[in-house]
Amino acid sequence: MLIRIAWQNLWRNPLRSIVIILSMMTGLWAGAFIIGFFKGMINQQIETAISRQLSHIQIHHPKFGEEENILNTIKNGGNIALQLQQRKVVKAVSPRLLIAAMAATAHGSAGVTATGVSPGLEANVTSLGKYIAEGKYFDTTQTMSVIIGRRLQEKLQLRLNQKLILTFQNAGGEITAAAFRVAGVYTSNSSAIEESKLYVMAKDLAPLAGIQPGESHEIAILLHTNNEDEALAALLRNQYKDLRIETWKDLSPEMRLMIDSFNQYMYIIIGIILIALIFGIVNTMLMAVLERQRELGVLMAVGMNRSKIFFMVMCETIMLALAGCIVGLPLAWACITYFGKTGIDLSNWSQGLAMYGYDTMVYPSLDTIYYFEIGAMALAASVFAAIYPARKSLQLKPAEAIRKI
Amino acid sequence: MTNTVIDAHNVSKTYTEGPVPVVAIQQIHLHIDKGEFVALVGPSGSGKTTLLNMIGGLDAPTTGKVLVNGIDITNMKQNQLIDFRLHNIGFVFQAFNLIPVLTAKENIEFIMLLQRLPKEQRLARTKKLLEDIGLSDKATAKPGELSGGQQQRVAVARALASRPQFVLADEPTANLDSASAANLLDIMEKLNRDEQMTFVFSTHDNRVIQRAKRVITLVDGKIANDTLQTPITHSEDS
Repeated sequence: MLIRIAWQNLWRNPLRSIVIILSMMTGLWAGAFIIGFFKGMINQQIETAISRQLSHIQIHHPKFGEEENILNTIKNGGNIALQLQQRKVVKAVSPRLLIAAMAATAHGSAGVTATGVSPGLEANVTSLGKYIAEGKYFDTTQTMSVIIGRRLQEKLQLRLNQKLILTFQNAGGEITAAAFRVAGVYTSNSSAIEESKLYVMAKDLAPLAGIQPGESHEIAILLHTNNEDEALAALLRNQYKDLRIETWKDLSPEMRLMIDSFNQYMYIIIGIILIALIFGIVNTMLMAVLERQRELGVLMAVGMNRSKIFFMVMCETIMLALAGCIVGLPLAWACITYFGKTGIDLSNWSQGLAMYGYDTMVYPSLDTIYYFEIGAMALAASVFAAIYPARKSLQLKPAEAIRKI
Repeated sequence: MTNTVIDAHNVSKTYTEGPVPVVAIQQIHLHIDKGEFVALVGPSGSGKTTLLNMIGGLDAPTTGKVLVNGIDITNMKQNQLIDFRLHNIGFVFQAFNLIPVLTAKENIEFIMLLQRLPKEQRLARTKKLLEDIGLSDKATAKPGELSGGQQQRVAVARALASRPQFVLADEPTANLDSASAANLLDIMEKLNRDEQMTFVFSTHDNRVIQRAKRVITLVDGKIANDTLQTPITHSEDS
């Protein structure tokens, strides 16, 4: 009956209860949606980074990256790539050559990384062919063709089929230059990548660089699912002890930091919302308790002990919070699910987003566990908020409280 | 074996919360036996409600002690007192003070629920009390749907639900019209007569005073007069 009394007490002042339930609902909805929005952005950034740049695992010569030496290659890269392709968890493998070069035209020059790829294999790993905005992907019957980013195209004022001169140091230490014809222009969500990365065919680049067939600077591995990377990386580290095996989290520590920080941000956002709600709840319940001093005094007088009165006030508060959760969290789920399918178009801010490598369409997403976590935090906050009004009710002296108007 | 249910020994109460201490009750000795129908009367500020509160364990005396059925309640802790009141004392207040969200039946049953009585026992007792106060047909009405007189009758039933040693009623008829007051007093008299239930009223109301078997007059916190009388039992006379 105490729970029933608590529930009915809430509806003695329906407007007040509805206002606090609505504020709770709005707070939780907004909190969950914001977290879902950011989670969606992060997921997309991870997916984009994996599918277009990092892939799940990369294999390098142990000294690659530490020294700018073209000779730091994986000697049997081609064979390793073939072996990796046999693994069930592996979706695609692409061995690459990576050479720091200077790209020049009559209109200017830019430092770039020339990536030598096997067009068929690379297309499976980075889907590069899908992002060709102008021209076409590599035609293997052609030689000396290059695919450049949109920003580099603008910087060097290049048009399709025009020539670009790549200059770099070859394996013998000599400066080599070669002309490549622009076959296609790709776009990326990152302007830095568009400006600094170009693709040529490995079969064209390797002889110019003096690199033997089958050698690679990098082997990129794309997996079927995101959660197999650590396990496969551990296996490969064991198998290829003389090579450096890194997952995308190792390759992009800022991405790892972003993921690790996300939970902290989530708790901070929810914490701020809950602090605001706590004040609302304390205010409402305090009013409810002070308005009912006489009634609470009578309950004490007729024999309702303090723990039951405390319990009743706590129940009222928890019911308010529960009502807010029951409405707010499903609403957040519905919005996140809806926009998770349709996406939120941020193309008005595309330039700013591109600077940070974000896509202009955001697909909010939030794992189910987060809804429960947010709900649990809201309930814990309401219990905390209820303590003061409940304690206040216990300080009443029945003889005085009964006389209150 | 004594028949005394209320025994106040040398009870005094001084309120010290304000700038000047206020003496509300001075060295009162009072014995009330089982089955008495007592009216505490006196002018405003004479200490009627203070004395009633101390007898009911709602307030503690500054000096002296109060025994209920031989048990000293003066030094009991708050939770002990609440539990003691639940099982031993019934209260009827001037403003009825029913729980507004519960029906008449539930208001009565609520006390027995606090006592953790079995459901069958609760329902049977509630039914009997509703019959005693003549409100069986209003069992499912909420206090807001009852008249003042009906609410006060439910309050009396609630006070009796726990089978207390005695009922303390603070100005129970103050908010009632003549007919309702007479009806309420009839019910209380009947319970007093048939079940030997002890009633102690604090009142200004002549209708109550006329029905009392014993009238204790308080003046300036002291008992000025304590007389037995033959009550006028016909409600029509009041």
